[in-house]
Amino acid sequence: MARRPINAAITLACLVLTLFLFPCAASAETVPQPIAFSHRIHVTEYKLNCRFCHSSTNKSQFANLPPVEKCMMCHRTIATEKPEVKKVARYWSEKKPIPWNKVIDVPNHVYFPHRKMVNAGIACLTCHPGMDQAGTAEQKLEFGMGFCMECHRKKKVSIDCWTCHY
Amino acid sequence: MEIKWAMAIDLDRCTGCGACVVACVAENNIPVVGEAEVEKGRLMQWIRVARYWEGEYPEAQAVYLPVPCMQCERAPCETVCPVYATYHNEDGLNAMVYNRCVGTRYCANNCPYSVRVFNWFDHVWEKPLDEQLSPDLTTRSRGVMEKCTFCIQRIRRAKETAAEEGREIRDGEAVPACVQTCPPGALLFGNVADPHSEIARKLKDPRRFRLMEHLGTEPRVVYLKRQKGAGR
Repeated sequence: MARRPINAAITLACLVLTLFLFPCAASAETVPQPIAFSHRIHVTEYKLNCRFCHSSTNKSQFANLPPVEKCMMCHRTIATEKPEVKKVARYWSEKKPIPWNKVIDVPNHVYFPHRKMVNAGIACLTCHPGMDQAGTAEQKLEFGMGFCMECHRKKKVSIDCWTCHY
Repeated sequence: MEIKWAMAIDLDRCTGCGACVVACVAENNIPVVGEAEVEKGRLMQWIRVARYWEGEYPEAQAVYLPVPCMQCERAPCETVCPVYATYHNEDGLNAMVYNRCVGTRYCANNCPYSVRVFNWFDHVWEKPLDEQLSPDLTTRSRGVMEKCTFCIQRIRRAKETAAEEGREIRDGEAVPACVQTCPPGALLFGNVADPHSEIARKLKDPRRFRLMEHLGTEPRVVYLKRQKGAGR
């Protein structure tokens, strides 16, 4: 009988822990965004190429975010009644860019040219796995130097420090 | 094609204007430290124009000597770094890796040309100056050594363009900021491994000399001596 309060305490502690831990873990993965954009719908269901929206990936160091204009190319006529699309339309009419929050931040000491990777035929999903099934963007892989080096060694491309760090 | 970068500095042409210094500061995100720090010898410029006087007043004449990193073939700075933050890369350049540097400053101590500079502070660029920072290279943080890189970001860009177009890098395609800006064209940069390059021809000039050659550092920066005579 004396054990009962301890059991209850443990159960309560577990409950509190689950309540606390899980939302934390989830929020660490997904960055809140102003619009609940779904990568899955655009990429998997409607078979849009990543580069349709992120169009400078093969030309620039940076993978760009599409301008509101790019969204409105389709959404002027498609799914205009959806609440999230209406938000896009509002930004469009206000002539304001969508204030997306940054998900993947390349550190300052790394020179990472997207165009080199894309033009070498590296699939987007190699570094951004699961993006085709994601809602708003989330990064499942952690980028350490080991991750880059593994591929650079395998493909026999330069592993000189000054290739990426200067 | 093998690449061996080198620079030639024609002292006959140098007027000591300092445009190379300004171009370098603008190109390489070099902080302006202010008067008080400069007095402590903490000037951050990667290239300096050293001034010497020849003769006595009223016949005195100034002699200018631009001094970037010599990119020594046998660099004294490389051997003393305990963390291999500075090393020799495949193009024959003396590379400096900021994210590896722990700030012992041994390299600067061992550099006979005093061209390495140290970040004593985290420097901030006040608005709107931060807008002109180059995204192609790091803004160095506190406790890190830095030095002239022969504008590695420009070399990289030229190499990338050449690779994308499926050809070798052309002579004059990779140009450091100082070389590009020099009004009298005193500075020249190129690949000496290519016998047809302009720099390879320039380096055959009998006026050539290298700074502190007796130390055996084998600098990649070659100077062309000033000549005396009529019209000079």
